[in-house]
Amino acid sequence: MEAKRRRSRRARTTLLWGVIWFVVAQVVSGFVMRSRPELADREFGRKIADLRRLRSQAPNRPLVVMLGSSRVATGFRPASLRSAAPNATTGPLVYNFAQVGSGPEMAHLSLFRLLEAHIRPDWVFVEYWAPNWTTERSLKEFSDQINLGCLTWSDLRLLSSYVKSSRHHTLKRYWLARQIVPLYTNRSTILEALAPRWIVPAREPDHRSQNLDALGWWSPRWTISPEERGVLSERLRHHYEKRLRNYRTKPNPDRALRGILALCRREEIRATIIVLPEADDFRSAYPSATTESANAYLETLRGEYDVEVVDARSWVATDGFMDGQHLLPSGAQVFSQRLESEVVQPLLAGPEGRIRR
Amino acid sequence: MLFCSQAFLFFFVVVFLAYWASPSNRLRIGILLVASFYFYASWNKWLALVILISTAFDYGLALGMERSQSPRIRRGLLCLSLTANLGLLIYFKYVNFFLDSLREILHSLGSEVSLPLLQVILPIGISFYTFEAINYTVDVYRRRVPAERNLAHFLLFITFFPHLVAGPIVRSRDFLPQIRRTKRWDWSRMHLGAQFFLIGLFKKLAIADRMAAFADPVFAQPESYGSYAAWVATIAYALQIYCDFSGYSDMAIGCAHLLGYKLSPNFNLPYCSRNVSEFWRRWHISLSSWLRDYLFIPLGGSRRGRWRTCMNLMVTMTLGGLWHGANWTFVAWGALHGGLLIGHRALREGLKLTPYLERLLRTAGGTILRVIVTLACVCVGWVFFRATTFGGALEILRRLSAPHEGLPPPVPTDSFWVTLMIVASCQILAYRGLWTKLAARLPEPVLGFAYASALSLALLLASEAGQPFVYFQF
Repeated sequence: MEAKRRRSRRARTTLLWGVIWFVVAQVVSGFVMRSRPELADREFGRKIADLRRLRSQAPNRPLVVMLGSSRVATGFRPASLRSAAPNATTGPLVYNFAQVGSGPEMAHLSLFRLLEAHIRPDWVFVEYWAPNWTTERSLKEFSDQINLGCLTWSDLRLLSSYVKSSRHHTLKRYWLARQIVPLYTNRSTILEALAPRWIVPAREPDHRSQNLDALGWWSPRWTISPEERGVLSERLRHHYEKRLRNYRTKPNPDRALRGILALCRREEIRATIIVLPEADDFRSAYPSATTESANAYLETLRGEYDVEVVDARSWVATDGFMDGQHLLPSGAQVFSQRLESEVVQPLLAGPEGRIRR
Repeated sequence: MLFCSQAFLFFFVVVFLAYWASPSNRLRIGILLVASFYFYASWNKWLALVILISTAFDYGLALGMERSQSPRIRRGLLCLSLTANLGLLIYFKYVNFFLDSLREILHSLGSEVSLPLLQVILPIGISFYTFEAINYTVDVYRRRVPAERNLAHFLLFITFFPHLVAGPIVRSRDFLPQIRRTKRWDWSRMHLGAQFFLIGLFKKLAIADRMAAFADPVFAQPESYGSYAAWVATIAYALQIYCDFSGYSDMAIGCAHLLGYKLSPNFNLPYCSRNVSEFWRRWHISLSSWLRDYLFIPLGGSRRGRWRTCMNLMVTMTLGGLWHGANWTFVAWGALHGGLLIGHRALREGLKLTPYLERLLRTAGGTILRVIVTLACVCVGWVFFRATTFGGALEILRRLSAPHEGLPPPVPTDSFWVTLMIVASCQILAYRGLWTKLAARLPEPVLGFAYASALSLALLLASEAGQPFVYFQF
């Protein structure tokens, strides 16, 4: 009887210890994921870690941030700006905070998360690109872009507002699973850091965090042959043609852009909407009605939120593109320098005369 | 709902809490029945009706068999039960296989006749629950067990969710008495259940699914890969199928323990076997003992002379192979094992005439050699088991037997070799009984840490693309 009681006590204590150790493992892995965002969230995490580091080196430099999609990620190269050298201690710190594959909803979330992380930009450039305003993104697209487990409860609420109500439950379930068992939900990330050859099935490396410079500019490739450019341009043009023909602003992207502008107004951040360069053949795919609607939409926002709108669609010649929309490094240099000389400097020299706080 | 899925864990926690919170045994049986049907219906609710109807049918037949004193009626009822169960199995699992084979035969004879292909969904676990029903009705017919009078008890025997879809195949004489017994909370049993579940989960997530990444692409396109990849794929598949199926069985046994039930063990270190006969006493024990008791022995077993024994072995193993799946490669796998068992019997008899050689094979070196040869034979069998066509199996065998140029393994092999070493070491330690001794001596916090580490490691190493259990398709 005594032996049975002893066995029972030992079993109970062992199970209890097992549970305690398991909980400890989850808490520790959750903590590591939060304290090393560049591990947990390959693009957003890496960018916020880099930005934090740059801010800590020169905390008093005004911060200019560019938000948008892969077009901004490849097109805007802060390092080529004369007034924004990364190692400078004066002048603005310009950072490209675009995220590959994202749209205005993710840009809104990114700005919200930056503010939560006490990184308060002084000037935000936000991209407008008509095809992105004709579609609403799915939960799958959002979960491919960021690690949902790294979101706080308020981030989650903001993201929920851009997800179909029928998917709210799934989003919360994803998020909760990532909070409860971070070791499991971040297994690829952890393995990639500790033993990348143990990941099965073997995965393509995450290109978003490769060739990313210290100021957030992404350069997936440096050159392209005219033939390949032609093929890629034609493919993209074909892909987006229908969207351009049936252009109609969808509620979510519109709400997201307005959300960004409202947030900037509330936080007294200067905001500028920018339309990035497109190659001639892609621009010719816009029906005139679409161009007029898009211009009217931007005009409305300019009036409502008192923001500048920069139309840079024709700034770069076709040989500066890799596919009609994404700029090559040479094109990025042309665009970035022209943005500096034609927009940033004149705006700074204008009646308000400074980056607004 | 896979045992290693979040959905199952949630389901099990709810069932577990409701089960132990209920005050009476009757209520607990009700909870388990509802849970079992919900578990099965999560795959296909209409097929849950099939299992319900066939179980109720067997229940009625067994009662009739027990009440009747006439041997003819009893035999008739048994035949009815066997026909119904095997008919169900044949219809759902083999009808298209037989039609397809018939079509090929007719075509090879020059006939242009076209046979229909039936749209049949294979009810998951049908091979397991029909065998359980058969062993029950046969045992009732032989008067080895009394017919169960309580329909709920009988339904639970067949549908108890831990063993429902992939075994172990339970015997009525082992399981039905457990249902009647009132269960009491027992920490030692909970510990044992958690231990089994954890070991099973580790085998499935950390080993089996990982090994699939080495085996699947090579078996899908064997002609593209070289000899090294073929060797890695074959060994990886041997590990995968063992860890997948024994992992599932361990999880089933663990879940049953957590609910106060005991299921018989299904595996006992099969890759440590010294001969094929021993392998079948250690591999899928519930199936091999079923085949022995309900097929091999009724055929005459080994009591009717050498040739009849050989034939019985071949028939039993070939049908055992066919049981695994509707494909000629499974038949070939079964026949190969039948041949190996016959060869082993012949060798054993031959060795009796050469005592020196027999003594030599019993030494440590001889034993290691026997284990390696047995393992090699088993691995050759796995090639037929895994390949979907004979051509594919032969391509792999060709690459195993002679060097061939081709692609390297589809995934870096670091994790393959480390896993192989770990599995081999664990098997040796377990064979020598060291695990049990070690676990008994470790202080509770250390043992708890080992459990938590095993679970964390299993979760960490889990494949991104979750794999279903291999035996679910059977």
